[in-house]
Amino acid sequence: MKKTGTLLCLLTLSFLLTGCWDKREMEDRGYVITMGIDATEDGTGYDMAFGVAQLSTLSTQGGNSGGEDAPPLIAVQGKSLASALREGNCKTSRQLYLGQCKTIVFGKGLLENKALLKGILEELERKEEVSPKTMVLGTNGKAEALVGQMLLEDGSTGMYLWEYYKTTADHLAVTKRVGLEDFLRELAEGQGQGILPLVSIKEGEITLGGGMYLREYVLEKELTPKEERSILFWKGEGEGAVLEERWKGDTVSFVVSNNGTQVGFYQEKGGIVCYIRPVLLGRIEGGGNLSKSVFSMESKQALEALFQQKIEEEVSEILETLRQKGEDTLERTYLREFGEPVLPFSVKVQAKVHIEGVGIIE
Amino acid sequence: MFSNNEKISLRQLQVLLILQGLGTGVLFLPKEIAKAGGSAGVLGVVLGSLFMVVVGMGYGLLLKNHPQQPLLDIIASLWGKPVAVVVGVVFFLKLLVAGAFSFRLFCQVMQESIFFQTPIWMVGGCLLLLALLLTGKGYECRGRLGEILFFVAFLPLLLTLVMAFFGIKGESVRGAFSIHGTGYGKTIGITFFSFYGVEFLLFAAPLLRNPEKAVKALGQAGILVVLVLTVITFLTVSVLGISQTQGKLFPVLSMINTVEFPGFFWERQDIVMLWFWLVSALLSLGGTLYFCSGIGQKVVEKSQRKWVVVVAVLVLLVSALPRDLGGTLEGLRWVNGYGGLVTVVFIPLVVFLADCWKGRGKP
Repeated sequence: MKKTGTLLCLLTLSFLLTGCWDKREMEDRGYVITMGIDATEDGTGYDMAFGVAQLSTLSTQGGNSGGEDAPPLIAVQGKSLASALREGNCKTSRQLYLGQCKTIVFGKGLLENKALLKGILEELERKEEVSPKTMVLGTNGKAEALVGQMLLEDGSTGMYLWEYYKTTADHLAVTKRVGLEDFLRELAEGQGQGILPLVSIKEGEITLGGGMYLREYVLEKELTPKEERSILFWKGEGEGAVLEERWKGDTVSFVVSNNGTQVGFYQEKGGIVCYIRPVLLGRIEGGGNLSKSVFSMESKQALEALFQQKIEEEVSEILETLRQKGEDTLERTYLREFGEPVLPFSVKVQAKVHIEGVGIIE
Repeated sequence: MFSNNEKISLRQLQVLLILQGLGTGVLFLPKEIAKAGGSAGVLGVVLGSLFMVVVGMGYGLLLKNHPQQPLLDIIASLWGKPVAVVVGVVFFLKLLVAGAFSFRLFCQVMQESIFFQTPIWMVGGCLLLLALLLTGKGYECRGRLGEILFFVAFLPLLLTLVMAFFGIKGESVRGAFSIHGTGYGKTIGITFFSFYGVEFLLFAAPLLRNPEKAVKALGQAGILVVLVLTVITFLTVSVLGISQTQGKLFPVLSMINTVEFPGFFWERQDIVMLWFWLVSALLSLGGTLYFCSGIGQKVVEKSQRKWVVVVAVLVLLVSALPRDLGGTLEGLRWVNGYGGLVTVVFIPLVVFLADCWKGRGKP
């Protein structure tokens, strides 16, 4: 009898511990998968676009009919995320839920408005529902237009962008996937400096590549895919990049399979030098008339020198551009290694390219 | 069949020490460390927890030298019962207040991270009821439960931590393990006093099956705690960076949430950490009820069962004192720091030295 009582008591407790006060039925929720955030025209609030998963479409495809979903795109305005969500909830019978949000796109207007950007980032960071892994992107147009376009590409799950990055972009070196937590960290450590991957609409199609460089929480420069690639070489994340050069009348492609970069400082006669040494492993791709001349030891060395020079030029160029705009990653590296004061130094890029995996004929 | 005269094995003691010791510290230590020591903090955690291992092994020596006497009995035999009563009251107060604040912290964190709508009294009430049930079943039950829960709570946490290593970026590793910086003393102190329930060891002698082998066992458990604490602090600082670790309310939960399991659609990895903490909180609260009631019984000589109820009520009352999470953390820091200085270091050290002086203990 006593044991039965204890067992009943424990069973009751187990029901209570499931947190029934917090229960929300799955079918009562509208799962926001992609969120677009922009500044309003007058710059006093946010234009938000919630891309909601169409679960009934998915289940219908699977042969079952589902219930009604929330509208695929809910566009609202608000002074904060909380008020925009409330506004959005008034437009649908499902409660909008951010716990499965995979992608957040920041519009150009927002990236140019420091106060609004800082405000929304703080709110996103505090909001328990929003995962720190949520991918963040910047766009050079309106965020709502981009989310709308994305829903045209994939209206059922709304995961087009997320899947693109997950399966492709990480291996292409035209842009890099950035999670919300990574971005917040980058901004916090760089006093508002950071790079968001760029997504834009060109001729009615979503195009990924390039970046949005922020300084002091304001958009400073839109980076081209080539500039973004150079930054990835500098950071040692250029795996998947394809470089092309003219050589002996042919176009030769170098596909990077591995990239690491060493950054350090040394003293020489002229003063302190910061060295950046991107080390790249890859293969030369080419066929037909090209193959015979490429696959020799001499050619290999000549090509390595050729691509080394190209990478050095690219990285030096982007470093100079960004440092002129106040980018100070290298200064922070110096500070971390040697402490204050940060003495003036020059920057030297010394790339090392290893061509591997080619059959040497001669 | 399952009972062994209310005694626990050294393995069970190790498990209890690991689960209790890592409890609150695991969740809040990286934030405190990042605030006090910046990027030099990880080294402070290593040193601070190593000091605690040394202290734990010192307690092991006391257990070895007095296998049947808890601390108060040793003190009574050294200086008489009145001194033992005073020391008993000091330990009772410290363990009670620290236990109550840890309990409040647990309830508050649960409410702010998963049970947003559930009343805090419901979360706390369930935990307290379970802890009462556990205490009522005796110390051996606590040891056996710890042994079972260790595998279902600690191993998932370890697996998640291993996955978290994949989220580290090269440059941040150097930043997290910097030796340039100030605040070593502070970070060592914070780490040293962040372990809850180490003092339980001083009263555990009659409850152990092989107290003569306790030194080695405590050393082994301590090393595992050092490793886990260091790894968690290192991962948090590496994944989030110093400024983010300083600024977030629960940086460890944020760090855990960045973990990606291949093929998983599960977004809340922090549940693994909260589950571990739930187990830790249950065993720690059980320990508070058991040992505070045991001390109460020694001092006032009423039955331990009555004392368990009194302690449970006191825990509830004291846990209601802080106004909010910040106040609770501040209070816990104060009790663990100043109270710990007396109960973790000063009293055991004096007893140990006096014991050796009188030739009864072997250093």
